[in-house]
Amino acid sequence: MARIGPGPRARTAALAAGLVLAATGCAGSLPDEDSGAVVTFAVTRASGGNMDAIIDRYNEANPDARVRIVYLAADADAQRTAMVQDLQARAGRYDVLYTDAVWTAEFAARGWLEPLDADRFAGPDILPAAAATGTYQGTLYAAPFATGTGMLYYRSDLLDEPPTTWDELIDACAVAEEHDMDCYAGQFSRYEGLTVNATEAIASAGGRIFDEDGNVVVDSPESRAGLEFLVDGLEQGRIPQAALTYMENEARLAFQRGDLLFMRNWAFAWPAMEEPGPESNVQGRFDAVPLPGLDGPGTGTLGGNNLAVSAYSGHKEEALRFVEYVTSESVQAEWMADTNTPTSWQTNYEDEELMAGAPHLVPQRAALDSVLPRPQSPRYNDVTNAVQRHVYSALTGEKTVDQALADLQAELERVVASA
Amino acid sequence: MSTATARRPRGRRPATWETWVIGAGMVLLVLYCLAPFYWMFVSSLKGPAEITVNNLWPDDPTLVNYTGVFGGSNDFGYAVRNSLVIAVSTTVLAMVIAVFSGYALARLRFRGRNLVLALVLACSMFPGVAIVTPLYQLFSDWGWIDEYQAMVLPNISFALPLAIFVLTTFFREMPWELEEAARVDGCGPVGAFARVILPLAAPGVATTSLLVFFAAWNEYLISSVVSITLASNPVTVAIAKFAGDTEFQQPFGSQMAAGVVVTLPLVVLVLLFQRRIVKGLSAGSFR
Amino acid sequence: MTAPDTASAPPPGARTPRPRRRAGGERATERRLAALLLAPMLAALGLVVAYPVASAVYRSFFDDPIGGEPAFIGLRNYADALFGYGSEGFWAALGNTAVFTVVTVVVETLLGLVMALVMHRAFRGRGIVRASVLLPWALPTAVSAVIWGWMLQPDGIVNALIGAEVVWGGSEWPAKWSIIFAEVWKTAPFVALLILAGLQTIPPHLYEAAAIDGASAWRRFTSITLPLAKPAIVVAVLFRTLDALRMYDLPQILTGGANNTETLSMLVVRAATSELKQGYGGALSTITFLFVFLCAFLLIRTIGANVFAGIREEGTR
Repeated sequence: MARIGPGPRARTAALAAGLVLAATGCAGSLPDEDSGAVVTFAVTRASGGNMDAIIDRYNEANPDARVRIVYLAADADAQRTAMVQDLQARAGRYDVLYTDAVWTAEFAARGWLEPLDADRFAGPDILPAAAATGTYQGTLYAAPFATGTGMLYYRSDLLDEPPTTWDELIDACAVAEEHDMDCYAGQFSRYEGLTVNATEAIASAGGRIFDEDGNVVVDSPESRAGLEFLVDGLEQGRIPQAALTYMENEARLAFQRGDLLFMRNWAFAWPAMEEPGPESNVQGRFDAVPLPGLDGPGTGTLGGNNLAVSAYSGHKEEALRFVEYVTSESVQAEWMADTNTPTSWQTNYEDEELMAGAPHLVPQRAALDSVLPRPQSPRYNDVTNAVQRHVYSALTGEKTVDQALADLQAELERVVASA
Repeated sequence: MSTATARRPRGRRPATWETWVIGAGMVLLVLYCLAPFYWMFVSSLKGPAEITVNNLWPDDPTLVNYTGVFGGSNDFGYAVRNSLVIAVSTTVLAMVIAVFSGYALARLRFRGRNLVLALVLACSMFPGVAIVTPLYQLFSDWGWIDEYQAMVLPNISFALPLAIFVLTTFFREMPWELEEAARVDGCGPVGAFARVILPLAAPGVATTSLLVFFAAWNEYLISSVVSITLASNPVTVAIAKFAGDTEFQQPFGSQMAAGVVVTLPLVVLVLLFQRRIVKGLSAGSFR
Repeated sequence: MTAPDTASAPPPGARTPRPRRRAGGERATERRLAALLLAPMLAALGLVVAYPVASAVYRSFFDDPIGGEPAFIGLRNYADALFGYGSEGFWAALGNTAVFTVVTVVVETLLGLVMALVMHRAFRGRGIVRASVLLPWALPTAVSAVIWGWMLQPDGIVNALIGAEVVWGGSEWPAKWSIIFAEVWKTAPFVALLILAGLQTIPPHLYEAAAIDGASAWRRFTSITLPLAKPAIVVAVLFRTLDALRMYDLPQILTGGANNTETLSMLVVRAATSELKQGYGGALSTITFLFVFLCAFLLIRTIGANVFAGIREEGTR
């Protein structure tokens, strides 16, 4: 190097070498290095809990099938991309996959997941709706892990009775106006959360995107009523325009600033808003109930994650043992206490001690009784991309609700035909 | 030839209004460029309670975001190390290759020269996102996944077109008869090139090195799939792994703190290099 | 290189055409040396760019079944993208990409030129100026996109400072402008850096001579600075254009493609990565490549003849 560029690069190289040595010197050995590990578990830190502690305990008890964690990116799309690259290359670098509830069909249809024994991984104590998210064409491919559905948060200091229908909610907006707040917001940015919110609105008015045989039925009067609840809300100012940029956290921040009377959100928002400190203006002044609907209680959409075993894993037996451990009732109870996340074990919600420490799980459990999964399709991303695009253009007023639903129906029919 | 000190015309001192314009321009430029950095820095000093408040200085500055970045399982120190190794190797190798190519393209006569230039340029025209999957499969077959070379090699290839074009352009402007003179004086061809031409082209070489280094430092697309563990994760991948308390909470504070940490080595580098960029001509031997 | 001739005082001997004394025997040696020097570059590009590109193009002639082997379908993926079910998204993305490219490259070039001139002329505190100007380019796009996204939130600092309630991510033009702001902020320094390097190679005595001749500052700028910095400007504009035409991370993080801000590269990712359609995604990439190629060709034809002007042109002088 010195020969062709003695000046700047030599000095920089020396500087860089120094920094490298400094960085290496203080770094020590790598924490995720476990040369004895047999099973590799691809998960994300965004799962919330202390996965390292669970793994350490498991490894102590199972020295012959040690597990090492590989943390993927926090963003769900990036997690999926990393897994998909590995699965497409049939490399089997990840044995156990932390999958989103909506990936089951597309991974299973491509033969990427090991079929699981339903009795072993989704017994009678598991919420049926959660087990359904891990099931594709009648076979279980992913063991239910954390679950969850949307709830209606409301300001209990301003309202005596929470609404159970959309009409009641709209009437209550007068209270918001009195207090100079916005009335309602969910997650209406154009991303996966919009599919969740749109599916809930449509289902809460009695509509569906696919019927039980997988036919596209989204262009219906019920769906129109569902979408109109959102579109009219934006048009008439019940929903602030800013909600078009909201994801879960933005909506939560708006609510805890005191800007919203009602909010649709997952269970995570509760502990975040109850945290002591100047961060929240609404501590002890809100409550949550199952979502309202058109003529009565609404229908939530199921979120959550499952654990699947790669079809290209070289250690399937060990991988299955590990999945069984992590999804077991006791570990899940511990996970619930640690992370405040709803789990898939019905029995966890009957544990009084557990529930006493997590007041938000009471309405969450009630909401979990009336849920529908998002559409299941081996072309799920085509489906959700289409839903997001057309629903968003209705929300921004670029298209009428009728037009958006007709376009969505046509596009989904094409997707179904290609699957 | 001129003396090294006469960078500005000596005959005319800059008029007062020129000084003012330049001075005002400098201030505006610095404000424009640094304002988002200021916001990043300020945000990195705010605790969770304050981070969503738009105050220009935190009421209660805290280093909690920085301890979060370096502590626990984030271990950002490894990522800084990995990024330095990857970016320095990329820069050194890419510059050697680009200097070779630039010399050949600017100086040597051969058929198909323009074709080579066109091919090189064409390599910057395919959407990078489309070659990730084939590359992953290739590197997977070679056992390169989670190794530095799986990032260094693509970085070199992505950097080469720009580096070659800049160097070719600069080399072509050089007074090559000086090189010939040096060869007559007894230097070998390599010696003549290294002692005469390279110093003259120093602004171009230094600028190109800096651009290559930055590009390698910032690369995310390929790294995000070929780099899996802390052993090889560069800073961009490490930042993407930061997580909030739950999947829905963006770890904004630690992202900002990481942004500050990532920027610091670059500030040092820029300060080092900017002198070289400035000195280029005046230090070179046009005499 | 004809530009120096337009300068008021060409440097004696500084930039004469290459000597043409080389004869046949030396030509063969030169060719061999050229081949040797170019080999590492060709190997690197061949391995990491040519091979994956070729495989993506090859894949674009096959369909995308779920499980099972892809079947050859000729140009159907291309037809689907250009005229079929994907055409609405494709032409919108092409338009957005063109708008982003034209606006950002023009603004970046002007701003970059100003930055370079200021950096070149700055005296007191120029180290600070140069370092601060380069930092936006040095920051990883993913981080800068997060910062801009945060600043442009409905209740973010930008709205607080301008005293307005713009929902930047909520409608078409605010969303487009926020992408353009963030892109220009980040990449103008790249242009500035390259132009500055070009300015640094201009021999100072040209300015002295011009000053002695009484040329005005503007005249010195147009007859010395611009022509001599032109090769650097052309390279900067060319590569900025190529990059802008393939823009991905910034709009992806800032808007996710909502409000008609989807670019061609985002379309490729949606097809190949999100919807797992590598054949269709390959076709979109190939079309994008051809579009970029066309733009580069036109650009070089109009402003950049001297990038490719080599020995042949100089030989005719």
